[in-house]
Amino acid sequence: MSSPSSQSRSSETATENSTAISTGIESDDLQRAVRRFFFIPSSSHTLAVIRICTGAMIAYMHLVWMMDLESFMGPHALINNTSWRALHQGAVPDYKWTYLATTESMPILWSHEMLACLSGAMLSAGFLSRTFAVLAWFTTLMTAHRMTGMLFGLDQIALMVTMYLCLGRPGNVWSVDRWLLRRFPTGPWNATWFQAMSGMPSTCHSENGCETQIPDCWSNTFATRLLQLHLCVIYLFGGLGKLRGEMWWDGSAMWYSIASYEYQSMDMTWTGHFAILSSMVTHITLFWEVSYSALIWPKWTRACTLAIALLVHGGIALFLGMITFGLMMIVANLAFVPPQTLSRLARAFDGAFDGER
Amino acid sequence: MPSPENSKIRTKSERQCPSVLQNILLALTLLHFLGVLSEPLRFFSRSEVRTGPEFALLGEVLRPYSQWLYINHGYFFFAPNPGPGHLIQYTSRPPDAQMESSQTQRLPDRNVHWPRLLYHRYFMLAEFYHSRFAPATIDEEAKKDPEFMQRWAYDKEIYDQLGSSIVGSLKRSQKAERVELSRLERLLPDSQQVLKDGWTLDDPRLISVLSETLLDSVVPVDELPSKASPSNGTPSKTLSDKTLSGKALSGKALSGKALSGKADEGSRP
Repeated sequence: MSSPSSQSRSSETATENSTAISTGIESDDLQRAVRRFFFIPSSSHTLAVIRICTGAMIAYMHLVWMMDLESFMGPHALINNTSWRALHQGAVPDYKWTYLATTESMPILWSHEMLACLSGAMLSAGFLSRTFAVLAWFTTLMTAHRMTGMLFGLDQIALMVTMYLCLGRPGNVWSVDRWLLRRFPTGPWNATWFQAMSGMPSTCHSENGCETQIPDCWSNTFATRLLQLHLCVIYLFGGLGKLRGEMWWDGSAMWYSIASYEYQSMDMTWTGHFAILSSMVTHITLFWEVSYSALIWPKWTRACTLAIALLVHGGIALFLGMITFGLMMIVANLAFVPPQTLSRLARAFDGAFDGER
Repeated sequence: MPSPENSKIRTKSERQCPSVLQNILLALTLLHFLGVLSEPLRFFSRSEVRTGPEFALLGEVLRPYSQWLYINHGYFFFAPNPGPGHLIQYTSRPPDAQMESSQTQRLPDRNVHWPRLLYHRYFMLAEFYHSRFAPATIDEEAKKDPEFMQRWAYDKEIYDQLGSSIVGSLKRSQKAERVELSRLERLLPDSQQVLKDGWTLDDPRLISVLSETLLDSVVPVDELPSKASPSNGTPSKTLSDKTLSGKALSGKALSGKALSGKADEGSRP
């Protein structure tokens, strides 16, 4: 029989062991959870929708740059190369580098912009998706670095989304790549070079041609998670920034946003007649933005959080003159829609490209 | 065509990420998000006195990565408060023309710049030009501080360089011999001014020409505010914005802001 002191010691040891085991298990659980969070294989449907929209937006952004290319980048640009160098390579040098700031040759600038526009269009269509995703991202990044002073949220979000698309396999479904493989299973599309440039999984290159089901890939989950986390950072700091402003607290920020003539695209000043409503919208926007990074994860709050995102960004697109920015934010929010949901939704339509029914 | 064996191996690695690669990717993800967070943290921890030293260090270390990747943003969309809009007004005179034939136009101009994205690019340029403003002269007190003088001289050089670049471009596009720039500020009316007093959002009473010197930094267009009846009141944001401009111009914050290296970050979405 053991003494009380030895009993106590053994009890302590047992507790320590149990804590150690428990910590070990928790640590393992945490590690497994993290790995599952980032690397569990998933289908490409969510990234495919984001790819289609973002590619189209990238193409449109470059089309608009081309509308007045000489004033934006040429030898007589509004911010010419000398000014650009003064801004970025002066007393406080920075790390923005773009070959567009080293040339004033219009043929080179035109070539760059046309390549960027084409890359966006090809990304949207899903032709050699991986290659054109990287090209669209890189050419747009070069343009963004050159166009200091003329950028806004649209450029930030479009570049962020395209960067993460490069990491996934957004062309596996609803793409020209997929269509080519299904339509011509023995054609040149079934070669290694095509697999590398399109990012199509190798099961599509079996001897019998493309398989009916594209396997889920870990890289889709990884790319989606990075996009989701980055979006949470954006909303968190966007919300915290607003918390510093008195207009977001006294409820007048909504009025002053719609009262800006430079932003206005539709007269919404009538909302001033409904001060309480306008103030409520301000506060809902504030609290939604601050809490987005927490409320977007649980299933039971996600739908509501996404619905408010749709309303807020839809409002910005329709009433505050930033159609492109509003749309791009909505597209980025699609990252939180599970691929299965989009796949199910797509089954309701007669998809021409895929035929995965 | 890949062999079936190779295909099988590749399929497995496409479906399941190898453990070693997972570890590498997780470490890189951590570094990447430090880069994503570094700029907002530095931005938020900045006061007129200093920047949070740990965030300043983090920002400094990760700046090459975050800046080149264009992920170095503070995400101050419409924050802390929606503010007045800024425009560039330019008067161009064709060669051998009389003064009367001078044309005055604005950047942006919603009647000229279409589609909306093109308009927004010009709007951002006007905001950027305003954000880089450095006064033509500074007061005697400020001149006694050599560090401040140095920063002001640098800001002034950049501002002048930007101005001459815009003028050069406009001369070419307008086929003008001479172009003169000025900065305009459009204040935000309150709901009473719009709904009760009948002001429109483009009411000329809301717009002012900003001076290039410290004194009289705001000059109303056509001096219209003095013609407005007292019952109409003055735009509610006029006074506070003047005060803010005055504070920024007289203090050392202006040069500090311009020197911070945040060339294209602001409260605009």
